Amino acid sequence: MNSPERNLVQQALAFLGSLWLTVILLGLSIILVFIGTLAQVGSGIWTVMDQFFRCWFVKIGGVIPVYPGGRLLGAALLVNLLISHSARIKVQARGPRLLVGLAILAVGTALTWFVISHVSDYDSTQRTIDPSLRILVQIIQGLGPAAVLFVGCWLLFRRKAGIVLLHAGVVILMLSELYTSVQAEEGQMTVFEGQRINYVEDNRSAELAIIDASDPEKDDVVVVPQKKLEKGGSIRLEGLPFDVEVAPDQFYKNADLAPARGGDANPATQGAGLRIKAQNRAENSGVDTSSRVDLPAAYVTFKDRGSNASLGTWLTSVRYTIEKGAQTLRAGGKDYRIALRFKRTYKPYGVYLYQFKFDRYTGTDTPKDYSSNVRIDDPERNIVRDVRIWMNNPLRYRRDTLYQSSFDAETEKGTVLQVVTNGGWMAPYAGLGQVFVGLVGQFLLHLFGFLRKQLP
Amino acid sequence: MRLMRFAPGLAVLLALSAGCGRNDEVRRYQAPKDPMWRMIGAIAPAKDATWFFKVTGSNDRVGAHKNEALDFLRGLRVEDGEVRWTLPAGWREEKGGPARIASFLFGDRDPKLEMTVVRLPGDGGGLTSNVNRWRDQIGLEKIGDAEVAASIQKLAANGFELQVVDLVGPTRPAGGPRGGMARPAPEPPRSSEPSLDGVRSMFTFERPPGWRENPQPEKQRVFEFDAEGALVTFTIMGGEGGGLAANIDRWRTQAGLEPLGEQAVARSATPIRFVGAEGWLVEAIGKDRAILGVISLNSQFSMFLKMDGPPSAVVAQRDTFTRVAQSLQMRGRNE
Repeated sequence: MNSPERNLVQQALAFLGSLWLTVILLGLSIILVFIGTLAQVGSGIWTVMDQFFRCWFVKIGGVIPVYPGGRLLGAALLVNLLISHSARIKVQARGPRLLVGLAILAVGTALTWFVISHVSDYDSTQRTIDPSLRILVQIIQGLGPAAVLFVGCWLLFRRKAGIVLLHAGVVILMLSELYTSVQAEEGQMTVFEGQRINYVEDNRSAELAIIDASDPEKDDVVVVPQKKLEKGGSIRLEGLPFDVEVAPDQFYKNADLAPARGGDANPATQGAGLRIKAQNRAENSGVDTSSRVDLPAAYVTFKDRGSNASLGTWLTSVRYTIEKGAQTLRAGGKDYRIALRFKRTYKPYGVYLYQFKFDRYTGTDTPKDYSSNVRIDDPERNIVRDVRIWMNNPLRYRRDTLYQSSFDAETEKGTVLQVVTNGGWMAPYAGLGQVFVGLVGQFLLHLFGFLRKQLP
Repeated sequence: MRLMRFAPGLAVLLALSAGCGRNDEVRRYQAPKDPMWRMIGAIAPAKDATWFFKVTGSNDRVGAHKNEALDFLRGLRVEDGEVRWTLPAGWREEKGGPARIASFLFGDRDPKLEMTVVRLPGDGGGLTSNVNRWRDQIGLEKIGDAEVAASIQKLAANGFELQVVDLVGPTRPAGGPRGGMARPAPEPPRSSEPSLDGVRSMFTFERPPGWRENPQPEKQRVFEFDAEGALVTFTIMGGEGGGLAANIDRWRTQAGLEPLGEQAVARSATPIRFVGAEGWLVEAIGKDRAILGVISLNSQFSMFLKMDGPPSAVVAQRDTFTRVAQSLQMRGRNE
């Protein structure tokens, strides 16, 4: 590499690692948070998350990029942080001290990795930790590896050990959010007493399910995700003798159902749509305190793949599916059940609800505790266990966390469990442990340095 | 090699720029069958009345206890025109709720299965309408007389015969949503209808479990409920609404009964407190249709709370309806 090119690269890296860039990126982030918050007046929180934060660019009309998205700003901040530290922090150790420092750092890193990747697989159906000590144990699990890392950093970086460690903690926090945004799944499991459920539903997103239930043992299911339905057009249904088509203006993110009256233009030619029609509603916004969910609806036309002849247009709606169930489509001498429903994810285990309990303070309607007595059964692992899930005491099983979230207010005989699948849920504990130990360690290093100077 | 120092930062930049996204493609997979619900219902005719026995629960659980339930039904007997029973070991009788004669709890673990007993006058609305009411509750299509007759099983008790149906369907009976699906929160009325919202917020009343509110009632209706097979509506109209007798006769005609003219109030209405004022409870039970209603008239406006549906459904909800009528209050209105 010749000298001018080398200078150019160095200048670029100096810019990428500069404090100016940090300030600019933080400023842009503050503006992004502000406009993202304003956008929640008219859009649902998850739409805003997708359009402003969990994306590379904020786009006008979903096409023209006009502002850096949360993912781009986060990535730039991360690169800025790593490059500035690479340039400014120098290893202060030589010889045996360097080797011992690196070894301890390696042990600390391995411990951190173990905590993030293995503790998250903790199976709380065995209740090895007393519930009252659960948070304390998790904090210790975050602080322990951080303390080891601090010793390694101190041997290598001396007076800057705390700064290095706390920034490493910040890096873990940022990567953890990125991992969560890409990998974590969240949904709800609604179980009534005496019922076993083995799937979760994500009420932030819908899917069109076409079900061949002719096999008495299993259903053959083809699902079309909401994003594909929103785009509209013809969608190929692999394995089925027909395809589905959605007109661009016939998918509603949130819709009511109303009686279809004679004289109204009605796209539906089959099924429930002959009696009811969809009415567009505004999305429930992120600032709405009632936490209502959007109930999408769509008019879908099924077309025979061979002849391209229409098999009919159905009104499909999540609300209809919840209240009345699936509709029937007959094609090729076979019945298929069709339903627009909340996106489902099946679990390798089932949750059976023995009893839901809603305790109130005596003589009042003030809630005291919500709890669910459930049985977890896992045919793959040959496990059957009775467990209790109650407020602030989730069940952790197979990297899923099942929280007591809500209940069926009408009967008080059904529980709603929030099921979060996030393999990296321990990462914030590890990251914050490093930030905490880094800050305290840096303070103590300065304090001891100061005291040493004061001593005669 | 100063440049090597920047390697970690560049590595992360490369890793991130590779990008990532969730799978938004059409998928095909094999899934276990959705959980189903089951209902075993038995209809027992006795003198002047019909008795209904019903057990509901998850399909496998009710299936496991079906023989136990049928054995109990076989042991029923009629004494003095009333159906009597002997509780098997392990069964517990609980006092029935409104409109229920009794409830029995049984089964091998908590929560126990519950068998409810309801007694309705006459034929209780007939076999087909009751079987169809049950089919609707469990999410099955309604069927005709011949199919109903083919679907029932005759069970011999002590000196009389029971008609038993065993239904499996996708909907949880007694008001629950289908399978494991989360119930949507009731939607507020659209912004183009602020007046309805305003009127609704003026009233408070007891909302019985099992009654499902239609968030978008038809015009002039303040509330609309599906009361386990019967339609309950609350309507307010300006003026006197045509007078009490005329309204009673209108309902009687709708139920297929003779109008009573001037005798209407005296013969088919009883006074009741309603929204803090005087009201009239009216009963018009026809052969195929029954109407139960409360009317309150004054010179400025008239209020109608009405339950309309098949006789079996309306009679079964009679006590609940009366309780709701008595609980209906206007905010800030003193008795």
